[in-house]
Amino acid sequence: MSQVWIYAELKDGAVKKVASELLGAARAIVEQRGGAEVAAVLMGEGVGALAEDLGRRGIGAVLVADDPVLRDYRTEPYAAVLADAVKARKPSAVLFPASLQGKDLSARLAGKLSAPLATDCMALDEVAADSLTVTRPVYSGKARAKVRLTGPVQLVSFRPNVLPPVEGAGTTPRVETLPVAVDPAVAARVVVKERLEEARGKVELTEASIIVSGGRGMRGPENFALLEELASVLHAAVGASRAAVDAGWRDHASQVGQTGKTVSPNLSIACGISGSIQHMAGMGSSKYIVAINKDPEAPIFKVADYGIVGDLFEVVPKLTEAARKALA
Amino acid sequence: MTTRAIILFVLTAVAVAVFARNAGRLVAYLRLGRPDPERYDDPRARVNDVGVFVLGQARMFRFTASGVMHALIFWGFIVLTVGTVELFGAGFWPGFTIPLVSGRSWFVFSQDLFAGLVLVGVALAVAIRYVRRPERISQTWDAAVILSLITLLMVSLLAFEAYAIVGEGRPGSWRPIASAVASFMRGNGVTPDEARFGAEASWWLHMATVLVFLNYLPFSKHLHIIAAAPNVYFRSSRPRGALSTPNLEEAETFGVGRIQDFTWKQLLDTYACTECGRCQSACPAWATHKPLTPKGLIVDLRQHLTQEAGPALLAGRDPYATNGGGHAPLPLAGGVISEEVLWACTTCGGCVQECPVFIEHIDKIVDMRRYLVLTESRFPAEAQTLFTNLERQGNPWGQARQARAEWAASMGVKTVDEDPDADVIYWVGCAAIYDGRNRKIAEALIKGLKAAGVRFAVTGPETTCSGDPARRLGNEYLFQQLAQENVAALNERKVRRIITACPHCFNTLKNEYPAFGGRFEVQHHTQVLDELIARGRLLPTKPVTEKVTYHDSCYIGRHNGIYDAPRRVMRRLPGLELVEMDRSGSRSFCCGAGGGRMFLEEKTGKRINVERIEEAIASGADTVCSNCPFCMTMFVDGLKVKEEAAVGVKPLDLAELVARSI
Repeated sequence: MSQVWIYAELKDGAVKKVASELLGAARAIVEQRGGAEVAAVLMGEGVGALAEDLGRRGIGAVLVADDPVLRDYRTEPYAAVLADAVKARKPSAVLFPASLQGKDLSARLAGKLSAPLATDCMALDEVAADSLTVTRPVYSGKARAKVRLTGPVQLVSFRPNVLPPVEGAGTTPRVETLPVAVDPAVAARVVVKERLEEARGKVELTEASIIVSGGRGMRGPENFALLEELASVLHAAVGASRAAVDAGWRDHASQVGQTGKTVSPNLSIACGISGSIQHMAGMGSSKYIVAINKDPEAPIFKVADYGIVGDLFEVVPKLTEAARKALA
Repeated sequence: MTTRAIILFVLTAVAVAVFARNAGRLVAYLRLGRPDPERYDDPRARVNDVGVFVLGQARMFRFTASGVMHALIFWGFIVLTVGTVELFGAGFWPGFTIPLVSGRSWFVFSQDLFAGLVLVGVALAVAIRYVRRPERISQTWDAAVILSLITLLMVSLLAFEAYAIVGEGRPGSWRPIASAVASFMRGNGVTPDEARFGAEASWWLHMATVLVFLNYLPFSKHLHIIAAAPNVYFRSSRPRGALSTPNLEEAETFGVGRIQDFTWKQLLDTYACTECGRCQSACPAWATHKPLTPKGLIVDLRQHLTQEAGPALLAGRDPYATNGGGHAPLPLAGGVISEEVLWACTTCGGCVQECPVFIEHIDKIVDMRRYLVLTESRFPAEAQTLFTNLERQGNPWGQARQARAEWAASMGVKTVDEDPDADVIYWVGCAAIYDGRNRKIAEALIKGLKAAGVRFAVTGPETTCSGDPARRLGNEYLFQQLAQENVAALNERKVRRIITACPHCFNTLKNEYPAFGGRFEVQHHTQVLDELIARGRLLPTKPVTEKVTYHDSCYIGRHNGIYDAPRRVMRRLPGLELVEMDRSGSRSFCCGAGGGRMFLEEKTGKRINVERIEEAIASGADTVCSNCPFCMTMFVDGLKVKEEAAVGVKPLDLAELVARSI
């Protein structure tokens, strides 16, 4: 019975939620190809217990490669083990998250297997017996290309947050063990000596999925505490317009705009920002923009998805309260 | 020949020989520069310029006291030089005369009078330099030496004449000053014998001072008395706002990275500088405590040419090569002239406007930026964002190119493809398309054009940014690419007339696109509104009760000389009161966004836009009228910074004022 595999990437000893997103695509392939099943590949040291978690997500089969050599993610040992497994078990497709790890591993695997690979995909379009058609962005996202992969095994990585997560009926998965045979010379090539964790709490502006930013309408540096509070509830980063940075209220590192940082969060909450093009150039690609401004004529309302005309000193605390309740 | 004539002859021959040798070196340095074929057209106009700006001193009087001071000394020297020729001639050959001149009473009188006037000029110079001490003037030994030499020349001349009156009984009738000195001498008991000795001594003093003066020139800022006239003669005949267009296909190096990459005329500029500092007093970067001073730039280049690079090159050495273990020499762009200096310029043209001898500061700065960008790929990080956005999306902010197509429909106007027979093309410009505030200006202008019955159309995604910010930041390659694309799109649509509300687009389309085969009749919207009102096609009737101060943008004002049209428009708006800022017209002060600086951070010193908006607030106006999308953005930002002082002050474009009145 040919399988479709999902690479279950781990973070901080847990399975990333992107596994549930990949599950939907994997199921679609299985259904089209008939008589197959979805299996998750779990790699690491002492990770067997996580198979249950994958079962709860609705995955019926988990292939576990558990070995000290796999304790830290390293390209070559992981690729060697996975390539051996693919050669032995012949899945018809392997799906990866288009994360740093997923992109790295899938590329190495494609090389080892001479298999077709499409990275950073946004949709699964067609499934045939020996091919997959997927959509991926080209030219920095200015156009999209449909790509068909043909071969005995197709490798695809999907962007996180684009496929809807699916849940199946929870089940106790069948767990099988993958052999781990890594040439010690290969394993010794790269050694992880130390892991440096990024400081917790502060969210990096350019990586944040939610950004709360303030402009001249904040009236003073002390009022940014309001935004910090909202940001901590939403696990967001705090940005500022050039006007606020020029006034010395915020550090230049938090400036968003033409001459500052370019950000593309899912949600941007702009407080007291008029929305000149110099600022919008840095945040215009936000998926959703919420504007809070007391001037109904402010240009930001032209580009905002949601606008609140009002005093931010009233609106923001209420928003913080509401978010706190909703997320509690 | 008498002994006296022989001594004078020998002295003169030595002095002239030494001068020729030193002047020859200066000429040799000039010849290190590249050729400049643009400088030889229209000799009549060039001669005329020399008449107006050198003999007529036309630009000098922009600073009244200094202008009078200089005119007295300059005209004095012209008149007295004839006398000097006579003195030397007579020194070599007794009885030498200049036909039609020597001995005539008017000539005698002129020599006496102008010697006195030059002394008045020197007194004025001393008063300005040492009493009033304007910030633009640097206190140098050089200046003191020159003033002393001039004084010595005049005093020795007058003393000679006075002693001659006393000692030889020369008639004093047409020599009022020398006669007065002579009677003072007689009154103090100077005997004829003493006077004859005095005459001989002061004659020698005068002649020697002339020769010393001549030989001091090549080492002094006073070299301008030789270099200024040719510098004016060879001044740029390009429109003020147009930069040079290098042929990038054939160029082996880009921009100016070494002194010999300048043209000979750019090097001559450095000889013509007298360090008067008028450029510096007009410079917005300097006024807000940036390290750029146009005067310093020219002086540093001259120093580098005549003291370092020039001698090395003439000796066959490369001044920019590391000489075996020694310290690495400074490069020109980014070394001798620091990067911070080069990026501080807003290309406002204040320096170029003020310079009495037509030194071209902006061209040199942009040439060095071109080197940094195209050869070294060294520029502020924010410029990279701009360049990438222009390359990919054709606008500075990286917004979707396609928005240009949707814009026309959203504004209810036709594109040129929808109305190919439109009389005129409204070149909208990126700011009005992508920026909310500037879009309102476009709305106002469209309202005016429609009210006047102008049949116009706009361009769509086939056109991009004019390329002005890229060109002025030194990315000539990117500029030429954009210019060629735009010219091709416009020519393909057989566009003849263009109006635009952006001074940068205006200047580039009008003055720079001809080099790319784009010859259009381009008008700025201030001119269009003026014309429509004058012809009665627009009737401003509703009162606009605003107290308005008008900001002359650099690229409409200084670079293109449009000062009156917008003011005429405002005078036609009922109820509007126009007040001028201290710096207005050709002396207007930049908003800080020119030269591509709109897209760079301004981290050093005071913000230029804040400086300007403070001036606008001080004028007592409640409206700052702009004519430029970049100025508008800078004023909006500046008013935010000064929100407490600026209560009730708002920025409006001229088009918006007109739209309120119709």
